[in-house]
Amino acid sequence: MRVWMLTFESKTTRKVGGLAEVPPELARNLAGRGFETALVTPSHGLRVDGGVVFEEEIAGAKYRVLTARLDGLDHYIVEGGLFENSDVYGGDLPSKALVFARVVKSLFEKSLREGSAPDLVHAHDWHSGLSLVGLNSLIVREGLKLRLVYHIHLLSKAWFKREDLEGILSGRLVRGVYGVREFSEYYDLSQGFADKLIPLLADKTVTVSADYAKTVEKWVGLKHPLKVEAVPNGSPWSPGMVLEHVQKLAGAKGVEDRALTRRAVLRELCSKSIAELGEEWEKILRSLGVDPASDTWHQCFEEDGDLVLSTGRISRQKGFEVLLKALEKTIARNPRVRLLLMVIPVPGSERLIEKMVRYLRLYERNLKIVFGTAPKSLYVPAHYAARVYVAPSLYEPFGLVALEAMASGTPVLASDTGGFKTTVLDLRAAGLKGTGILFETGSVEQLASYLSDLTLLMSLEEAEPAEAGRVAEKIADPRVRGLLNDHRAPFVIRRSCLDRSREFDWGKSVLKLVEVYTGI
Amino acid sequence: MNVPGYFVFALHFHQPTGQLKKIHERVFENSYKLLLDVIKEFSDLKFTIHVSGPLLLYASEHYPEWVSELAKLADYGVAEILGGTLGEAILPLLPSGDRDLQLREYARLAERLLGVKPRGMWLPERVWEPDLVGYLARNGVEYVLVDDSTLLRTGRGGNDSLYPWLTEDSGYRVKVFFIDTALRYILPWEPPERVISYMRERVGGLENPILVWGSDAEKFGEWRDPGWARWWLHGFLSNLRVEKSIQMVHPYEYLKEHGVRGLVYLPPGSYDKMLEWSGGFFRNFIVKYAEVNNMHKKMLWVRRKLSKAGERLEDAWRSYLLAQCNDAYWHGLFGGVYLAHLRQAIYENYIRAERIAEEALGYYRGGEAKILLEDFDYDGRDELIVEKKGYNLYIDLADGGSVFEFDVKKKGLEHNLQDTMSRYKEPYLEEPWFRPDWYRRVSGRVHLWSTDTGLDDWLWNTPFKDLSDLALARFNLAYVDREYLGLKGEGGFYVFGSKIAEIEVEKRVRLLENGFAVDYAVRNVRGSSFRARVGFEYHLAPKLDRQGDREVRYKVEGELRGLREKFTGVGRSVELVSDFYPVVEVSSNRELNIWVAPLSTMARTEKGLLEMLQGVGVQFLDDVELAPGGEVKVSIETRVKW
Repeated sequence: MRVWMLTFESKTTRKVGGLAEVPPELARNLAGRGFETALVTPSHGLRVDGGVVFEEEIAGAKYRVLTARLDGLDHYIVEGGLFENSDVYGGDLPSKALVFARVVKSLFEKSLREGSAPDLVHAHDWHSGLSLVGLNSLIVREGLKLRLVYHIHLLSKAWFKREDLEGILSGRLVRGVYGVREFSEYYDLSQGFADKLIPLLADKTVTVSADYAKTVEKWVGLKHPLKVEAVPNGSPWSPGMVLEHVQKLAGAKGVEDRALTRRAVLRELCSKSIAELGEEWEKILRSLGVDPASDTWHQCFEEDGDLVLSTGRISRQKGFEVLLKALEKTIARNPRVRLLLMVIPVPGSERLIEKMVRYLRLYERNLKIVFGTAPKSLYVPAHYAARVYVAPSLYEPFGLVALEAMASGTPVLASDTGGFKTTVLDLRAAGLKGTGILFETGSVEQLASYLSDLTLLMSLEEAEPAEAGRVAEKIADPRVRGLLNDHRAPFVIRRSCLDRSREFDWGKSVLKLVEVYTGI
Repeated sequence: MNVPGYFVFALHFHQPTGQLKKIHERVFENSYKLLLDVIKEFSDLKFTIHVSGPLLLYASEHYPEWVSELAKLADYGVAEILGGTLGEAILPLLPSGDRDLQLREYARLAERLLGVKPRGMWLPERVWEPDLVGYLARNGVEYVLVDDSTLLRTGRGGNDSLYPWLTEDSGYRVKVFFIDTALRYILPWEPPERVISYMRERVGGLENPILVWGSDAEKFGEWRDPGWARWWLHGFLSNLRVEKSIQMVHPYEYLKEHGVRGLVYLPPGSYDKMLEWSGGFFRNFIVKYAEVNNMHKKMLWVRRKLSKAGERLEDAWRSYLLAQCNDAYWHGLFGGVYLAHLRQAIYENYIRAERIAEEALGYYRGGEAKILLEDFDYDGRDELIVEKKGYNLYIDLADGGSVFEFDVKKKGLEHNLQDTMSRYKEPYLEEPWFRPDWYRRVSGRVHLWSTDTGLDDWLWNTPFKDLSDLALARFNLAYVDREYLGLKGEGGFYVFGSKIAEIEVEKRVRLLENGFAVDYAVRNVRGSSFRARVGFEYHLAPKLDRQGDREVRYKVEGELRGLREKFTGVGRSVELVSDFYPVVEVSSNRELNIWVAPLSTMARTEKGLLEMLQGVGVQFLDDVELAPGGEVKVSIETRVKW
């Protein structure tokens, strides 16, 4: 079977977030099972050496499709016009999506003529998902057997005028959950929202977790006969890869002794500016009294302690405010907590950054923040060094971050939402087979309580056995306290994390995906 | 045949937990002894008597003969004894388990001291809430006395209140008699003949009506002079003896013979004045006065420890139940929460109960202080609660990072040094010079006063003198280390309402063996320079001598002064000195201007407005000019020199 993966980002070309991991890994693992796969993605300004497949002019701009073999995978790279901008999700994103859809349809038509057309097109998120709408009309007009799979990683409220969408069609009819009908009927059912329309027109819609599948079904509308299935992601990190990074930073001893790695990470944070940050963000931070290029007070802890890590884009969705609000109560229970945020500013995050800086000043001993993209050489060992990783997202379709932490042997305190419900095994129910705790999404109270419980519990990995009783007394939840009946609890939990992360490999994701493909 | 009306004469004897010894002595001499004397004289009549738990316990210790006489009156059937709550506590304010305990423990006490098992109950302040029925019924209470205003609010009026009714909740039942408001207003203030004439009129023409008078026994001999009381009672009871249309009766006896009128469902209520003072609902007092809320929530806090420690800690539970005594939890016209000695006793009892419970629980295993962020006062925001073996320190982060409770827990020294009282707007305080406090008068607040501010401006709230919003700023617990609890708050310095500088205040709280220290840093973070009188405000509630008249004075600059004296000068420390409690000292690490002033409330009494001492205010002041980047640092210690 020949499969095209459509995506706006891929770690083989341009990576912004977790999505960039998924299409290439699925493609690679599908290839391993005998599928003929190719990634179709915009260049976003990336210069690629490759053969030109064809050229097309759209709205006065020239676009070309190149073929290239990158990182062992076949690619069709769409370049020119709107895709010259390196900001993947910046600029006029709806127009980019519409142009991409037209180019993909032309590419498909060309491959059809040449007898190299795919049997299935699998698009990731709405930016590339609109292409399925164009292809759908072609299927109806030409009576093709092409199958369309839509993969939602994060729902969007992107909205389109009907005329704009009609511009990517090859006829007035499309085939959807109610059979072949006028496009306008499906458009009306979707009220113009891309993430309602595409699922109605795809042969199958999948998403990243069972919990998020329900969210997608609700968003599209429960009156429609739509069954969304879950294809969980694989872990982007393997325990082996983590150890490689740890070894580079802290040597073989750092691998054996996490405390050494932690001190190495903390030293690194105090020694120099480490993150990559755009000029514009540096300016904003400087106006708030943080000079990320030349000072380190915002990222350098005065004293060692129970390191807690949280990472992600600075957006409301990631729940950092909940975490920061919980810090006061956490400190009261465990004053040794050292919370390290490694966060990436994104458009719209200015106000949250301002708040973060206020919190930085308030909790100068217990909170440090790295603004910008940290190098993997530090980012990965920081996961290894942490006692606990916190994922406080208000919603999170999958949350690769939890798998990254677990691949580092670090338990995860995550909000009880989306993919975390699948990936994180709650210690309160699973005992020492657990890999973290799921707290009620958005609850400052619960986050604070379990963050202190979990850091206290994990701190025993460096404490004398006699300390256990004193620490146990401070743990509020009796189910967490009970874990200390086994004095090796912190070590066992770390091992459980590693085991759990191995259960999420791309091979397993692809097994599920093949089931979906063959079930259409 | 002339059908008689019935009359219940219910005397309620009560002195609160913590009452001064001299008042006890006076009231016993003037009133309580007199009343038993009169009742013995009219022992052919029928009286209904309630003696509150705190008073009965006090009497059993100091006036055992009086208690024996009362028991005899009960035994001879002269007096029907009403039950009640051990601490004369307002039941609806209590956790449900305590409601049962209060009722059960009073019943045990009455049986032990008076040899009776009461069937009826005196409802403290007649505060009624419908869900009391189950508690009363389960604890053997068959009837209660409630004010007729409560029945009126069901829509029943006129003569309906002249009969007992039955009320129900969750399948439980209790009978209710209604106290006649009009009779309460004239008895004993009108001449006996006029009172009887009213009674005659009220019951005339009805079938088996029952007129209930239930009120304070102290009205006889304490409110007005004993001679008059004796004369009035003689007149009244002699007339009643021969009055054909009215017959004295015991409530239980009436119920046996006549039963109830029917079913009613009563809304929450109390007597008319109480409803007026509380705004219609007794629990409003908890919201109106932060000090009432503080005591009430201290109760809930201590209870958690007691519950964990178990029921066998009888002394602790006894103290706890007595601390629930209602008088200091509200305010009408007189006293109430404004009475410092009553609040003092309440804290003493709670703290004692808390200490015993902590000891039983091994609460401080490992010897470490407990540092908790909990919503102690139920305002939806966390307070910082610091507990050590010897003391508690409670800090309201959202209220200027102020210390609102400082409990000395050492055995024999139990006392909340922050048990001060702020001045509230009261309907009877209309004097133009009176300005209620705009913040709670407790410790650790920071002010940036204008440089012309004087002691009286501070004390009596001259407006626009504090040019910052730091006094009420929200603080956060910013860090905890081996030595300090670090608090930080932000605010501004304002000129004509415009913020010209951003100010940060850091308070590093150090826990000492016998007190606490706060290292203050007030920083001009950015903006313009300004001049201000930086004030660090403290208030102390001196331990009062409830057994005698021993004085507390304060010592500043080596000189002893009376608590009502003011002081302005330069120095480093102020001490509270008495010969019955260790010295309490507030001191700074460097010489500063100091203001000391009595913190007084204005209370209405029978003798007009009276200044009541609530505590001693101490303020350390530093006149500074703060440029951006500049800071003022002061360290202030509060120690109890045990």
